[in-house]
Amino acid sequence: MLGENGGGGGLKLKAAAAAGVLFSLAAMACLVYATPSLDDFSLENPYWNGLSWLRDLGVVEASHGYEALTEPGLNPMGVVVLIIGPDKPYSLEEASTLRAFMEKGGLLVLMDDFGSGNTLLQALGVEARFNGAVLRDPLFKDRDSRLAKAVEFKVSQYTRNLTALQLNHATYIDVDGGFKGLAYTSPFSYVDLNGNGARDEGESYGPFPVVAEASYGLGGLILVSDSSLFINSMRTRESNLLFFQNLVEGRVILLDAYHWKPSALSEMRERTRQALDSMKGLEVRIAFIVLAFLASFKVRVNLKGFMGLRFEDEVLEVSRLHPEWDLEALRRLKELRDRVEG
Amino acid sequence: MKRNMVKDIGGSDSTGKLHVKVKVYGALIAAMLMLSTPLALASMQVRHMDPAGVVEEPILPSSLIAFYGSILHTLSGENWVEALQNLSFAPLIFLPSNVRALASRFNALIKSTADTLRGARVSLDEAGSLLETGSLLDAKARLSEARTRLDEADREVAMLEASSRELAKALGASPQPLLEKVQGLRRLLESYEETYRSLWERLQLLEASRKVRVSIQVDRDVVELGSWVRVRGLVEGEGGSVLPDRRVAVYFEGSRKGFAYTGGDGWFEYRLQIPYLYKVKGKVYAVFTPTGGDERRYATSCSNILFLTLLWEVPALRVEASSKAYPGREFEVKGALQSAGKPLQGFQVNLHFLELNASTWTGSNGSFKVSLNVPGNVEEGVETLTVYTEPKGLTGPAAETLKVEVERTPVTLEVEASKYALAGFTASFKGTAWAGGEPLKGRIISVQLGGERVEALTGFDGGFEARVHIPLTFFTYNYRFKASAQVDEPWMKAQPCEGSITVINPIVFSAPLLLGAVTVRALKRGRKGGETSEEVEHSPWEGEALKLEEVEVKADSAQGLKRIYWRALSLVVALTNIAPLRSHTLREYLRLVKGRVKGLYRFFESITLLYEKLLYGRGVSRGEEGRAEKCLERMEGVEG
Repeated sequence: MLGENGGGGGLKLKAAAAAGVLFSLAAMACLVYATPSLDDFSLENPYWNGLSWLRDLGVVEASHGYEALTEPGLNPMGVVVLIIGPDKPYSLEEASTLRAFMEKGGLLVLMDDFGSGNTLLQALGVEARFNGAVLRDPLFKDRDSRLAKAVEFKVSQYTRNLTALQLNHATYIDVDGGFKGLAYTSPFSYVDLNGNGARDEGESYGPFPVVAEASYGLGGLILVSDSSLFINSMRTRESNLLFFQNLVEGRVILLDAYHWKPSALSEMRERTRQALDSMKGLEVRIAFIVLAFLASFKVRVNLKGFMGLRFEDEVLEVSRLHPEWDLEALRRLKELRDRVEG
Repeated sequence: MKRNMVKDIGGSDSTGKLHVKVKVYGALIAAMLMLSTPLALASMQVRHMDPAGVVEEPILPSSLIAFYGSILHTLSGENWVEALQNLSFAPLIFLPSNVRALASRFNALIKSTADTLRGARVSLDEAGSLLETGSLLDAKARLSEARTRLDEADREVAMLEASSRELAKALGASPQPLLEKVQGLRRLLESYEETYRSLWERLQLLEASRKVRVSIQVDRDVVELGSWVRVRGLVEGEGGSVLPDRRVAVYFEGSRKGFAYTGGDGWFEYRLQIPYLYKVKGKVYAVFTPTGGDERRYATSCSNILFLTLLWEVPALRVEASSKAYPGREFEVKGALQSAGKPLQGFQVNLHFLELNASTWTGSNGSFKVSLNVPGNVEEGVETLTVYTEPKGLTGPAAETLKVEVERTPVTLEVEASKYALAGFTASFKGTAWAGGEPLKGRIISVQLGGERVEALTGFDGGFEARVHIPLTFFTYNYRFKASAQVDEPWMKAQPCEGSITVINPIVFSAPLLLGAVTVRALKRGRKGGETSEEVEHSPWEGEALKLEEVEVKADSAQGLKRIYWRALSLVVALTNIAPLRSHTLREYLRLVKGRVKGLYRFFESITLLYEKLLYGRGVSRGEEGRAEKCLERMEGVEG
């Protein structure tokens, strides 16, 4: 009542600050929504470490687990599950779903180097593991020895017509238990155990398997010891794209996005998107129309009245905002106004 | 910091300055927040290297030299294929720009040297074989080719030596390891030179030797497989003199079958059994190779070549199989093998289909039957079934191929659903599941609508009914639903049925109701306000003024300012003809006359606010009272 008009610099300032914060929040939300993802392997990330090119291929993103694999109408033989650089560990239940998928003829491609891929292998009960040591090759490489190349291939439908695979900060596979190595680094490659960039005593020479295959029921499991083979900056190097085509070969691609740890930016964008999506509802749209209607009629809604704010509360609040005003006078004025407004 | 800033702004007396400061600080905060947000929220964890931003590492000469050394060593061992295969990896090596051209030249030199040396080796081998059969002219031509290649190889090895030095120099390494490997090639070349010289000498010797003529004949030229043929021949020296007690080798289709010895008349005879080669024609010839003392006297000679017509039976193979195969199910193949209308018993039948191999034997009536288990993971498509029988005796092999389509039986669903459904209620989906034209019983059918999913079981007639409860959280929208059957059998494939259903959320009706209520309230309030305004417009000022003067008399503590306000008020009323109601607050009246007093408004506003402060605040200062007096003077001045 009086607070609205009772002019004080403090009140105006607070209102301005609140408006500023609200505006900032809205602007931040817009900015976050408009800023592309910077997350590794994200389909939304158009930069060097993203997988935005896969979006155009109609890749299905499994963001909430593997429910899609348990759909009754699914033909596992026509599906390839791509797990690239997982961060979160795998549960026995997830492994069980993937096992059933492979047993029915599905193909699982697990690409990992220093992530949580071994937890899945353990849960699946296979003996092969991602070693976790960094591979280097001083000869068959790009400009850095960590950009080693796989140059030797065994005959397989997945290695058809490959000349080399350009790796990026890869490790190798401890092939065991029914796995067959499909792609190997050169004999000049070595594991850099102490990370000094040179081969030392005790650091073994290659060739090291970087792609391995095993049959699993009617389907198969393919391990690739480099998660970055298909990122935007790597996919066109050497035969990487051809390898991808050999792996996929007309199947529906289900990309595991659930086991990545999204950055705070991605999480905020996701929430912003959800909020925007919820506005697509007819009810929300009607609510906006009502609000616009209210605004056009300049109808003042006394929220405090709706919320049951009592007489004394309102007077005290105004008094708190303007301690220099006379409390008794405020009470009289409130009484007078209530009488007039009925 | 923020609190201090607010305090500073709050302390300013000037409203305009306050607004400017608020805007500036607000904008700064907003800008900082906006710019920092994406960077702060983005993941800083980097798991790879950006290949475009990688700094070039210096090359490791020992690795490159070891690579080339390995290839040269393999070449020295005449492992041409392996060496050239290893060399094919050379373009994958990362080299600095100053070494790239040299390495490229070095690669080309290794390849051409390998090709030349291999060519020389082939020519020498062929020349040796030709000398064995007495084809001296052809052998001489091959030796000539070998000579050219050996000379070329000599030049190339010399270039390789020079190139090795250049490459090592560019790499900043010693050329010795590479030169040692090139020396291995030099030694190989020398061994070829030695072979060449030896063959050339033998050619010279054979050319100087006397010619021998070998001629053969057979007792019949149409023969059954496995039968015997008598081969007779004559070995003659120059001038027609016969050569007795000489050994002659008899060949059939390039394979040596045995030896025969000439008698005193120079004739020899050999009983040749025709092998079971199921061909139309067979080639027979004999070769005389001088041995012992004959080596320096006579030349190796080959006889005339005779072609025998081979007789064997071509059986008829009949194969019957379904034109379609289903993954995970048995696929039966049957047929019969006959020859001239007679069944062939005990013949092996082999089958190949989808990487599966199977064998069986023909029965007494020549028939056979095989069941293959089609793998469950095969792709759909047209595949080839190959059936072939093994030859036996005079009966040759037979083969037949069939095109078989591998397919999965589609499980189709017919679903009926209402076009509309209410949120908060249940929607029913009825339908029937079919597989291969037959109703599918006891099968789980899953129906998905939005995020809701229910399952139903099909009955004996394949019918099912799924009831999906649509929660109130569903917006009013046209939702897609999908029904699919659970299929575990590899020979079946599910074909989901999709459709749409319009969900209407009852909450949506509350919006128009709310809108109507608000409108009615707003219109009522507007009408009420209009009446009040009209009332104010027509209120007699005098009556109200008198009552106000009574109040004025009671207030004696602030006489001066009250007088100023009421004086200003009388001027405003006189100007606008709008009198204040008893219910009006000072500000309500001020708003009422705003826009009607034009230039006087800001003075009247100042006086009103000061009077308000006097009434409801802690009084006014003398300075403020003086300011109000000045405002009144300005109003009177303007009004006057």
